[in-house]
Amino acid sequence: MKNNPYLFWGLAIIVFFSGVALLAPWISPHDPTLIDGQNLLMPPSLKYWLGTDGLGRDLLSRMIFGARISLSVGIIAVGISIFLGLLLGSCAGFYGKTVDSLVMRFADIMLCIPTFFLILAVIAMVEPSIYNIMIVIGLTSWMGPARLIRGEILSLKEREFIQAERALGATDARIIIRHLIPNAAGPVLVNATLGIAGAILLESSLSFLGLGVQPPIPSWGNILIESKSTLGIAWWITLFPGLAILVTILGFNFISEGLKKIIG
Amino acid sequence: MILEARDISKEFKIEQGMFKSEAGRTLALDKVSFVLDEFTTLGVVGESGSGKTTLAKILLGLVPASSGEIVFNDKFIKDFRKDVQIIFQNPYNSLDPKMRIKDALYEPLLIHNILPRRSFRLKATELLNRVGLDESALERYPVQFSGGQRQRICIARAIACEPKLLVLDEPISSLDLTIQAKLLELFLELKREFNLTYIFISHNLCVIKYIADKVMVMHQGRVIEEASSSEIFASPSQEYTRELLEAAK
Ligand SMILES: Nc1ncnc2c1ncn2[C@@H]1O[C@H](COP(=O)(O)OP(=O)(O)O)[C@@H](O)[C@H]1O
Ligand SMILES: [Mg+2]
Repeated sequence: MKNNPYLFWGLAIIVFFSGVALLAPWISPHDPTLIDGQNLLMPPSLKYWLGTDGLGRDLLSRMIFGARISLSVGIIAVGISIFLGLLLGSCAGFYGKTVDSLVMRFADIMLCIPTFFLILAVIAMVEPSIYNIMIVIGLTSWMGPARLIRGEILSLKEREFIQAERALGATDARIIIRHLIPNAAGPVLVNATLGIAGAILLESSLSFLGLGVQPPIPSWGNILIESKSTLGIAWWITLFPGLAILVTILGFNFISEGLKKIIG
Repeated sequence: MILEARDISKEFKIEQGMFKSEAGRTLALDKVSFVLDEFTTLGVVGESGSGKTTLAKILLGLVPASSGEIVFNDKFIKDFRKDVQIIFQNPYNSLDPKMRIKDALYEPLLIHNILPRRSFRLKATELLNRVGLDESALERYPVQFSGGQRQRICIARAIACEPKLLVLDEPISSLDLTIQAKLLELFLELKREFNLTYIFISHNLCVIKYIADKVMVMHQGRVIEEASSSEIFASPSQEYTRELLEAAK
């Protein structure tokens, strides 16, 4: 930790935001959905630390609840993509031949389609609920982790300890799960932390087009987009969610950088 | 007889470029046949690239042969994956770096249901003691051991299966001379203690002379001479074997 400041600060940032997200109902000073016609667009004050939005809702409370949504979108979407990546990538690398060709050509095709437009197309068809967004982001971003895992496994599977494991009579599943994946997981972990940052950003971009998490549920992305109409008059509604996204992404990037150093 | 190998050949295709076009072929093994008697040690000698490791891997079913067959005597080999084990040349590569020694030793016990779970630790300790290591090794990771110690751990893992046949692919070649001698002694002890049959691969004739009952000389994938150890060293019939003997002096 001491000689890995990236990891330290990254973890500090993410632990802080996760804590905020987990404790949202207890620490948010106001009801994030309470509309107060008396207090529209109030600048930051002692009562409303970060000010209020165009409907008089407390921005800080909305951001605290937004942290829940944004972080869980990021983490669950990446969870799905890593799970698929591990499954498909390890099978491709381990079994080679036809399985490998099929999986990797499929990944190539998916990579050819710009992810953002693919997500747009899908979200336009299904309802843009928070679950659908997590799933769609997950389903369209497994290719990177799959390629990483496949590459690692291709080189690992010829190593003697894997051969020895076969000689001991271990099943394919046991070799993949107990030996190959733990040894290949390092780079994937680095990739995953970056992926979370990417997914949070992606949800924000989707919100910007009105296809992200739908109001009145607050996400950092949709708070930011709602600020568009009051851009010239209420700087705080743009600044604070923007800052939160930026710092969180920075946090995940730091963790990823720190992990890279540990793994070497 | 514990096993008979009949005309085993192995051809590797060398593929090139993105369309995997064939760039050539290597005949790593060319009609290798031999008979292995129970409780004996068959020494396999040959220079680097003569196909020794390929033969070992084929015997273990780790790579398929291109042609030929191996017949195991089912009086000795009942469960192939338990009864036939291998020790590789490079001990630095033979243990999972992410796994504690105890888990490495539990693997065979788990896979073959050799014991109830609660006896694993005791058994693992016993195995370690048998190969000259102590209980403190259990909680550690492979990086914390020297090459010789790692090879001992690999031996412990192999004998955990209670094998009948042990294939040793240059098991001491990458170690210091003093450690080589100690391990060689260990192999002889284990063979007596567990009634093992060995296939001992080496490019070092002195080692082979010390440990083998019968010797098979390989050259470019072919067996060029096969005889009892005393015969080979007293009166080699092939020019190539004589060269090997000369070089070893
Ligand atoms: N996976 C492989 N692909 C292509 N050629 C191989 C492969 N493994 C071994 N060979 C070739 O087969 C021959 C025998 O190799 P090997 O069995 O490792 O010899 P040894 O163990 O006696 O040094 C060598 O020419 C080697 O290049
Ligand atoms: Mg070899």
